Amino acid sequence: MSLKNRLNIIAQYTENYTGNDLLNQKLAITSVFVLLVIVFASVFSNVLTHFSPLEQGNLITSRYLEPSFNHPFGTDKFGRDVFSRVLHGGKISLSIASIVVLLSVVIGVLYGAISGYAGGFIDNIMMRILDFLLAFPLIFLLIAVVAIFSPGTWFLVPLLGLTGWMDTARLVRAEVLSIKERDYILAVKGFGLSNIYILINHVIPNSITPVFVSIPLKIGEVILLESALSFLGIGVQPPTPSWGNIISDGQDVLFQAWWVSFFPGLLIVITVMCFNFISEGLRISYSPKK
Amino acid sequence: MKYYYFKRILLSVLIIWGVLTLTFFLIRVAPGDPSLIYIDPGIEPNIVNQIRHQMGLDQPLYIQYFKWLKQFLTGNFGMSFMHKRPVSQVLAEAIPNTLQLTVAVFMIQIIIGIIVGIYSALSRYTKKDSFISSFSIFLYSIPGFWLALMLILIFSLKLGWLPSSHMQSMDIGNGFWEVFADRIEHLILPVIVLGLPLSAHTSRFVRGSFIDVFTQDYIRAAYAYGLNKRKIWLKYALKNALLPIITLIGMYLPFLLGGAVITEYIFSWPGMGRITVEAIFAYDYPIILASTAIAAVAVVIGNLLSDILYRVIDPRIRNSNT
Amino acid sequence: MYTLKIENLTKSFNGTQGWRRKHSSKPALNNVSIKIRCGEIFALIGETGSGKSTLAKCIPRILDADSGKIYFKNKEILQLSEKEFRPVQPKIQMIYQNSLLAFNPRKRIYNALSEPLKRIRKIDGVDLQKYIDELFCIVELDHDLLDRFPHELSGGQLQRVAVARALTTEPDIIIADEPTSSLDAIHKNQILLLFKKIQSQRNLSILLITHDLNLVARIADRIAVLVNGQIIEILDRSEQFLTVIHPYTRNLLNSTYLNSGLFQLKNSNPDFDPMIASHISRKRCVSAAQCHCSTAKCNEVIPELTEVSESHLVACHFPERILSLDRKIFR
Repeated sequence: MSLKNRLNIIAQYTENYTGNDLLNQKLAITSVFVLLVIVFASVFSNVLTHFSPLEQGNLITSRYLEPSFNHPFGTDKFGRDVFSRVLHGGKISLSIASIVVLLSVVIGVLYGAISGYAGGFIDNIMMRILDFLLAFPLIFLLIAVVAIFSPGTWFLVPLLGLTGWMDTARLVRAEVLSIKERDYILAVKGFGLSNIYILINHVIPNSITPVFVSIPLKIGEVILLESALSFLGIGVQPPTPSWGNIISDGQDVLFQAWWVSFFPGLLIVITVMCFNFISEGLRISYSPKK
Repeated sequence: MKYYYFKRILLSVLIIWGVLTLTFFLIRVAPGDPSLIYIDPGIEPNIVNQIRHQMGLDQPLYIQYFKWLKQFLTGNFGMSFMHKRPVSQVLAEAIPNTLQLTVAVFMIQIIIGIIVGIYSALSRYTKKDSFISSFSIFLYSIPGFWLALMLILIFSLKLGWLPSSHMQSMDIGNGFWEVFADRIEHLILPVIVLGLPLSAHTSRFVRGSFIDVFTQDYIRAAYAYGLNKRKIWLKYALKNALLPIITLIGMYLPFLLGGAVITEYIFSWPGMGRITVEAIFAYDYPIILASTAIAAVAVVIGNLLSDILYRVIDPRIRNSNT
Repeated sequence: MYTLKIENLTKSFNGTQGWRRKHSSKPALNNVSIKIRCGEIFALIGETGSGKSTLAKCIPRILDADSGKIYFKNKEILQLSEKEFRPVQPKIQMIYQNSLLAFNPRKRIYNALSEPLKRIRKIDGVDLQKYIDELFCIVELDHDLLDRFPHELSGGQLQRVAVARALTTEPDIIIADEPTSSLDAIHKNQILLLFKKIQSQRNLSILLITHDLNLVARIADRIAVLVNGQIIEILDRSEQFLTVIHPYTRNLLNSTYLNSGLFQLKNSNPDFDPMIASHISRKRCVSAAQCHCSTAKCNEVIPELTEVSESHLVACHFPERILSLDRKIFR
């Protein structure tokens, strides 16, 4: 496809939106590109940087060097290259966030679909449990658990995943409840097909559209949460870099070596912003147009 | 209708009970001797045994549970290792400090949120609104602790305009206005850090609520009747749109106690949040558990309040039998 | 002989206030009994809210009736467990009012048809394609449409696909719930002709549920009138159109403007006012207020369906009186 064709298609696509939405869509598309760059950089972090994130430099000559061509983000207390640490940290933070969101979405979709489709008594019980869990301030217990048990980095993943599936379940259940009564479901039921088959092939595919909007949002949330936990020292454990704990490293030397804390935070802001814009973009493209 | 309230309150009580029970079992499951929760690890073994017996730690689990529950509910949270004082004392000192901060934040962000929200609702579909909403998204995306550090960097360390920590400076007199002005100086940065994302959230909420009201048919009908524009505004629109904001009070309640945790830590603000974070680093279990439980209870009550207020306000929900 | 026999079917929808169940005094279906023969088109007419759709949904057990029996080919189906009922289900097919909602919007038409064929009748491969082509020929649709999505087809086309889909499992009865309500006159016609065609080709029974009397006039073999959850009259096409007994039915037929041909009634009274039935108490005969031979009993006791002749039943205490009075008044 030639460039002209592509531009035409984008123009056509964006013509469907009103002014406000148009800006959002443009932001969303830009975000996708920016995000791709970041993801690409973090996945290939090994190749892109010639300093290892863990390798300590000469403690005398190379600690707290200012950003330069060699060290675009400077070096930290141990002489480690901050740029490399940030990229690797990105890999860790992004993968944790993705897996956590994947986990919670899967659990949420299944729970919500089963509850909504089953209806009656089962639905009632499942929703009571859900209400209970939702009202439960899990984040606090999470902090307490993590603080007391000091689990390793990867224990964090199921813990975070288990605290985030509830709103997805609610969302999916609402969709399933309205789909359940549609004629095409009744028609397929009328063929005597098993409920599980109907659930998997008809009900779930048609009820997960709102979930798509919330996925990028959730990834952003988890990145913020994980970085906060890592900052406090109860998330990703050093020396494994994570955006949060790099910021924490730079805390004490804020005045002297601002770059250690600045850059990881900047990356967090950019990444989460991108996810948020993408989510807005998705929301607008899924909502009924005027 | 009354039945619903009863159910909700019952559920909340159940949840609080659940939280407390869970925290109890966290103590039991924590690595190491559970008695270490209550006893400073540095004491001699036979004294430890004495204390264990005193505390009833050699009794069957369910008895311990009920004793602990009773203790907890009456405000006896045990002794803090770090502070060597009853936890309840420590918290009683810390909570008012937290409240000073969070109440200030709450008030400011509501005002800013409402103003910005109304402004963007009025100018929806214009570039200004797009800009504001994009800017709001930008604000959401900033990690609070990082923003705090950056602000400290710029305003305290580099520019020296504002203090970077604690509630008050050491070298002020006792005059009321001096203390007051000093307090304000100390409040500015933390309030900005906490208030920005919150006011972004509130402004979106207000905007949504206003737009909902504007597009309602009854507003258009009022125009059609030829009512004075201003009058329409004050009498109908404002009242109906601001009402849902009351439900926000319930939502922000948990924040009042626990939302400032990391910010307090960074600014060394002697409130509940900082105490908690320090306790986490020092493995001071009694404090961790007590503040977790308190924060949890605040969340539950906040949700309940928000729910009830919402139903009271919106007669549509009230009248439908949910 | 009888594909479907419904006996004394009752269903109420209970309101709930909090957790106390409020028992409804107005059942949606009240002692409904119908017999549908093999290969006949049986029309069920009634106003909105009379319980037609409820009945339609009770038969394939989409809704659970409170009491009563349904015999499908002489086998009672309400007592069967879910598992036992499964093999029976494909033989009772339904066509829905809103054709667009009746199809999964994400699947192509081809998939909608192949699904039951593959899963229920285990037809696959080359046979599958052939069968689908055949079906499409029967419903007279273009084969190009197989690749499209439901929202790309018109209402009329979709209803025909719905008929094709219903035919995939070779059912013995098709329940058509207001199949043409959302279609224009031309398409209405086409669907009707289609029904007639499959009825004669496959000897299928069709339970046609509708409020459109013109439809009924054109293809129904027998008609049942449903009012407030009760059947008040069941007529056969052949001759009793001319001897309609129940005043409600007479009003109904009068309101169709089809005063030529089959619906010309000898004994209709032009002064009868049509009345909306749902406002009338269910404890008595629906037309007690208007009927010119109503008695005290008509106001107090719900009449049962009594046989006037072998294929004409009416819910009236004194059907002979009405007939004889008619002869006197409208000679």
